[in-house]
Amino acid sequence: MVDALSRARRWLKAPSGRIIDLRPAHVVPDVELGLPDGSIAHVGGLLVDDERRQRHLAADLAVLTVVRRRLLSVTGEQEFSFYRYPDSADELRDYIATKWQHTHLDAVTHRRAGEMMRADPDARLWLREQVAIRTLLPEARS
Amino acid sequence: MVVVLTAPLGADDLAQLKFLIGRWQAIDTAAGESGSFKRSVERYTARMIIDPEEHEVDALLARLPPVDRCAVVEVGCGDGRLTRRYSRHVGTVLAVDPDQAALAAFRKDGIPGNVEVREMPIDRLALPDESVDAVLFSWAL
Repeated sequence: MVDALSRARRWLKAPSGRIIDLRPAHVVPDVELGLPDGSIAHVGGLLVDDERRQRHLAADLAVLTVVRRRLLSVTGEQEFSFYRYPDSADELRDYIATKWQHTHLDAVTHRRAGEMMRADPDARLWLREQVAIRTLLPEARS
Repeated sequence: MVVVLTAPLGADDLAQLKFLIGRWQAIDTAAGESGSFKRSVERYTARMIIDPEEHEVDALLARLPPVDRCAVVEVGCGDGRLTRRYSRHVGTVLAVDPDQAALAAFRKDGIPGNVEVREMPIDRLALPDESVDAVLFSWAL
């Protein structure tokens, strides 16, 4: 990852070229239910393998390394919530199983989400992931 | 389904409308001159509705360099979900990803004219020095 950031740095035009790093800020996404009264019920978190946790830490370390080496500087960082809306707990489970690696919707959370949706048919199920976006500028130009 | 809007929508209204429609095929909204935003037609074919609030693309567009015909390299474009949303706002995009299946899904729905897709990891991508305005690591670091 450090090598990837270093390569990308070389490609940047002066004076305004930049790297934009967009990725999850937190390791574990949350399964939530929006209720008709406007409140939000936390259903559970996804199960995350060590592989995903290690990759998350490695990405943070890579950014820290290029900053310490004065190749790049972080000029701004922002977090936002990123939502995925399935129709059902089954759809959410299948989506994660198909699209994601090292992450699962466990049986307990899946069952709880289904039960809560049946108890309140007007509730809205979603997966919320906290995402960070940051700008990295070549140090000499920042 | 045809939806006729009689007043400009705010971003929150738009997100809510998209959700109420559910599996929406296309929504084209244009605010008046004072609204200063226009969302072009998009098409969702997947069942899962992803980021209808457009928090992601809004955050990205706010960070692109203020240059004409911005040249972007996107690392980890996947099936082009995000690429489609921002590419119309920049000059060119070179989108790379080593995942053959994801790129096949990207190509299946048609690649925007200003986007070039290459199947490769970043360590095999050779570009001239000082040739791009922004390198986006799209959920890829």
